[in-house]
Amino acid sequence: MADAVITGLRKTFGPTVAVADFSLHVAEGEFVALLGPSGCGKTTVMRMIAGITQPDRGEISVAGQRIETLMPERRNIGLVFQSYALFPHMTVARNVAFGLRMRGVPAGQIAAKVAEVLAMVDLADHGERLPRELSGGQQQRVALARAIAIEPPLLLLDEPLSNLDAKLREQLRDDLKALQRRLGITTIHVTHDQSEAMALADRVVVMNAGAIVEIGTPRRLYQTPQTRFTAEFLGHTNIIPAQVQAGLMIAPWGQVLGAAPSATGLLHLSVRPEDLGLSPSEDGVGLVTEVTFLGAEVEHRVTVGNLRLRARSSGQGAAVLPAGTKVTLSFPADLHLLAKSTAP
Amino acid sequence: MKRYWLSIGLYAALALTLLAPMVVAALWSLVDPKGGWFAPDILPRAVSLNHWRAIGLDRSLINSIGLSVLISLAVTALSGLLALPTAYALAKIPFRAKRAVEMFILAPLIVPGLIVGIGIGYLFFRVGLAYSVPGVILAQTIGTLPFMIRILSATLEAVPADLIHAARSLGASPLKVGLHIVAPLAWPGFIAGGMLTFVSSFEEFEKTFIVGAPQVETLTVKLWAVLGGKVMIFPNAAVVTFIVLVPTVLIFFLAERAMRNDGALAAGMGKL
Repeated sequence: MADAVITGLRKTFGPTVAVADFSLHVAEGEFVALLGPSGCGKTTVMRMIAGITQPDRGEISVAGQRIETLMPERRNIGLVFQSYALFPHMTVARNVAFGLRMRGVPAGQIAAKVAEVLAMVDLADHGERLPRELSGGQQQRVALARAIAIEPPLLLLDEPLSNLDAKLREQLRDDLKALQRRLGITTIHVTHDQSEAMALADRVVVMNAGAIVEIGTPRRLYQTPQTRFTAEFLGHTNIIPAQVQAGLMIAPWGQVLGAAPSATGLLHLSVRPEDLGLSPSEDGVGLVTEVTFLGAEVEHRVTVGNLRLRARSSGQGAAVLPAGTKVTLSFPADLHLLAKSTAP
Repeated sequence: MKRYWLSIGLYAALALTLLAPMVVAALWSLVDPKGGWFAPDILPRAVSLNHWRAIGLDRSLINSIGLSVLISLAVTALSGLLALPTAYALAKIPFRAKRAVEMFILAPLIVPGLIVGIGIGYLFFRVGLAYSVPGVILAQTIGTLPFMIRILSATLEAVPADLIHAARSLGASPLKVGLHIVAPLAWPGFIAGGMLTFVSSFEEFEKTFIVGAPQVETLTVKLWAVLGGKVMIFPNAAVVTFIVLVPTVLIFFLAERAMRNDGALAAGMGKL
């Protein structure tokens, strides 16, 4: 089975702990995204799997074989870089053929395989071009073709879409996903772009400061994040502290938000901007300070006491409330609480 | 307009520093010994090929040229061989005190050749390398190594690490990465380093003189002999000067041609 099992991976650079005790199981054919801000250790994890960086300790198995002590060229892992990393002195076809040539595959078979994978990425008639004659998107597709030509059990993608402009990025993202589904190739994708991670991955691994913060499906992580970090890193959110009194959750401004799950103490709620309702009212507690028209959505910034909240509404009926409007706030019935240990 | 003045300035500087001395040297080499050339004459009274003929008849000159070429080739090969691992380490392997090591490697450039020559001259005399061709080759390599290391490490540094990682992940051993990726991308730097080393070895005098003379008579040592010790004989010296210049001019002409013709090379240099 072409799954990947990572256990207790650790890497330090001098006094800095880049990755601390990283464990992950990626099932066969699964697409997993490592998501986090720069410096969170996600790239170091990828480099350790590829063999570019040596872990201080920990185990890495791919398809049941331990690989952490193998040289990179013995690991049989497909790698795609943000910089494309195409060999500039070789044609597209020779780039794609490189891995097969290194394996001593007969020339006839190489030609057939090159044609096959170039067709997969829609570059069948670009084989004789040099990389510099292609656009960024085409170059990245060549890099992808080169990586899958060796039929690796595991594909590693290191920010592969980050060098492309927005439109092209979406296009290539969809192509990438379709190709990964079709080949059923186990994939680990490293990115700092939450929308990319959510669009592509079956599961997202949120990382911060060298450690895993939370693992889950994109939907689960977005709707019911356990930690404040996840809630804030995946899109925008409003963190609202609430006091429990007589079995009810009370907002700082006195509004009853709903029944409390526990008896006492301070709770933290995460309310997505699109779930926060505003209605203009003379005796409202909130004050609209800023209105931004975003095209598909309208965003209002609202101040309540010393909290600054964000509310978004979409569709044709979305009201635009001018700055200075007093508003009352309404919350969804199904409120989401953050786990206590990670509240601020 | 600005660019126009800039190019005039550059050509003027070139003429003053390179062409003017060469013209004077050319005139000196052509002075007719019967007429001579004295101030305030701008040009010699009469010209002849007498000095060229005299030097040409000197059999030992041919030997000196052959020896110089041989030594320069050996120094180039040895410098390349010794510089490559150091240059690679400086370019691609992070390690502590890298700046200090870089400074240490460049140090021979700061110390005058004469001082280095006297130091190693004594040492080589003690170990039996004085007055020998291997001794001269080693002494010259001390001077050329810093250049070679600098150029090679700059060239290797310009080969993106991602390319090397990508090639490794595709199954290339370090040796194959060197052969298929690094060498094709870095060879302009190797050529440049090799040419510079060859020329600076060909023109080296102080260390060669101290370690090798009078047994090992390279072209520059020969030039010293022709200069005549106490009294300078300008015409003879001028002729030998031109012979020393030939490989330099030839090599840079070839290099310029190669850079212009080869698209891959231009791309490689562009990437550097």
